[in-house]
Amino acid sequence: MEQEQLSLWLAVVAYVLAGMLAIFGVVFAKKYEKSILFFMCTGLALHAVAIALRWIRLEHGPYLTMFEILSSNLFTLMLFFIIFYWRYKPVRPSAAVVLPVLFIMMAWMMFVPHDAGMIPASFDTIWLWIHIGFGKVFMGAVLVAVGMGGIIVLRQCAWGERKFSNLPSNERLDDLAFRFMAVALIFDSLMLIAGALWAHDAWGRYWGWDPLETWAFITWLVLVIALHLRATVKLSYEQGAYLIFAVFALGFLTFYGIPFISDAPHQGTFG
Amino acid sequence: MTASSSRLVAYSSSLKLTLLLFLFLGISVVLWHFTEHKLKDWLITIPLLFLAFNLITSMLTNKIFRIHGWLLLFHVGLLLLLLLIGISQVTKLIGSVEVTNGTVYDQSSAQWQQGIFHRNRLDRLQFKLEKFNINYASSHGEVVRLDTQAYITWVDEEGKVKKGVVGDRVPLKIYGYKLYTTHNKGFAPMFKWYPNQGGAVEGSVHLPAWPEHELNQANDLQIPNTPYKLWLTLKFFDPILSSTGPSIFRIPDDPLLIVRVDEKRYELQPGDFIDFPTGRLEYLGLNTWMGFQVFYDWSLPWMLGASLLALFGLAGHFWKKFAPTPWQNSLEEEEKNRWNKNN
Repeated sequence: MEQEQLSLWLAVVAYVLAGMLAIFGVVFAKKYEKSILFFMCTGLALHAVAIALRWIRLEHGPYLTMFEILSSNLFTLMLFFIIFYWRYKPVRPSAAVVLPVLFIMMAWMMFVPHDAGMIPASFDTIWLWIHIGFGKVFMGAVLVAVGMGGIIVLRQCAWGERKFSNLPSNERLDDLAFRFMAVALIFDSLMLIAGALWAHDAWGRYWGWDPLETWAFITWLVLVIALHLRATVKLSYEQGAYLIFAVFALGFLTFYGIPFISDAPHQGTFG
Repeated sequence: MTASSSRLVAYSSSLKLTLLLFLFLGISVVLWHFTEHKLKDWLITIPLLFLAFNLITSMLTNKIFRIHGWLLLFHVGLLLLLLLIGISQVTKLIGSVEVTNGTVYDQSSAQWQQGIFHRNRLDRLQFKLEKFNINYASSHGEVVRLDTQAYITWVDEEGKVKKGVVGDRVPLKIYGYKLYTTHNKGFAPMFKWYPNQGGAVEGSVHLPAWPEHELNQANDLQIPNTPYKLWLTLKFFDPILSSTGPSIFRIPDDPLLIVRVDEKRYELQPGDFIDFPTGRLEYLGLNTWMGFQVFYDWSLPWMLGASLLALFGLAGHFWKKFAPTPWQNSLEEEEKNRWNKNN
């Protein structure tokens, strides 16, 4: 238990160091890219140890309590972003936008109770893994798009324009964001399909418009609207960025907010 | 085609209209949650119908669908899905039924909603709930429901008697219907009515679901073919479920059945009687009941197929759009152009 907590705290410290270096790098026009990658990877490895120790101790994966959901999502979002950071060198300063977003999750994760939960019978299915796996890729793809959108919006002020002047043009950032939003749509759709299969398995109905299903559908719809608008109306890059933020905010609310205010059987967490 | 009809087609196939209809659908879905009107499903049906019409006219008139085959496939998949959702609504059945422990299913205790083209065969179902178990555990001082097992004997479509255990993710399947165990269950006082003339009849009263309606364990009993209506309630102090360890749903150790007939009050134990001018009512004891969800929808595998077809088309469209020009290549090209411009 102590080793688990220690690993988690050290992981958070490493993530925060990576985030701070990313922000300092942008503010002071310095290149800390290797250090940032090192701290992110170290944090991820320590986080993996913390999750594994808890998994062994409780004999179930990190998907029951709010703490477990935040921790596993933080882990997968970080993993997704590290791969992106490694592969897309020209836009690495986007870490200064993305990592502070993840700080919110880290702070939330550290302050919620770390107690164990009970596994409901409906969680004993492979569809749980498929459903949440697709959901994590969806959020990871939108998070990367948020990074691009954040740079586009920050560039609206003179300071941001100056600090991010070495990055690709807004057109290229918007294009990259759009590609990730396309990936997000595919995985969000897959998540809904897998969720419907699971719901049918667990409760004898594939779609019941419970609050979580409703907000998951609205998130999907706003994502579709964002992509459709881009294809049919000449949106400015900033407008496109704000739509990305809207999708991320809705996705965040659906994943972490709705399960805690709804009494529907389709709760994402069990305390 | 006349000018006005061309204009109508142009409007109805507009991709900007699609955006408005998406907004309409989103608002309708939110409004659906805030109304209890019996026609509220139309809030979602109407925008979906408009979207289907918009989609059909777009596919017929917009050349983009002829250029991009994958995009067409995606939209065909979506259209099929909408069509199947529509067919599902008129052919499916969703219902619930309560069955007393140790007794056979009785259609009169079932409630359901069915589409206008559903061929109802609920009267053919024959099964007996032999017994059921629901396990509970404690978590942070709260009781959490775990697994459910219902032991069923049923007669299949070929008339063969079968036995099995259903529960949680394993439904009982008969005549295309799927019967799922639910969290709904409760206590059922059993009675036997001995009329002065004619044979005795046995029956039970299902008290409200427990523990959901723990503080309202009361119901009425109308004795068959008589004017006698009884109000009854169950009292017990046995906690049944434990907030500190594992427990199981069971009949309490100290149940007291209180019955009111007009101004008279009775406290009954198993074997006690109440005499009426036209017969005698015997309280046989306390039993339990289990609620099942009944579901029938033949379109589900087809809907899954249409969803996957749409998704396959969407993935193919994005792959064709992005794969030939990796983002890094377009970036290099932009930098080359910028360099050429500066020099």
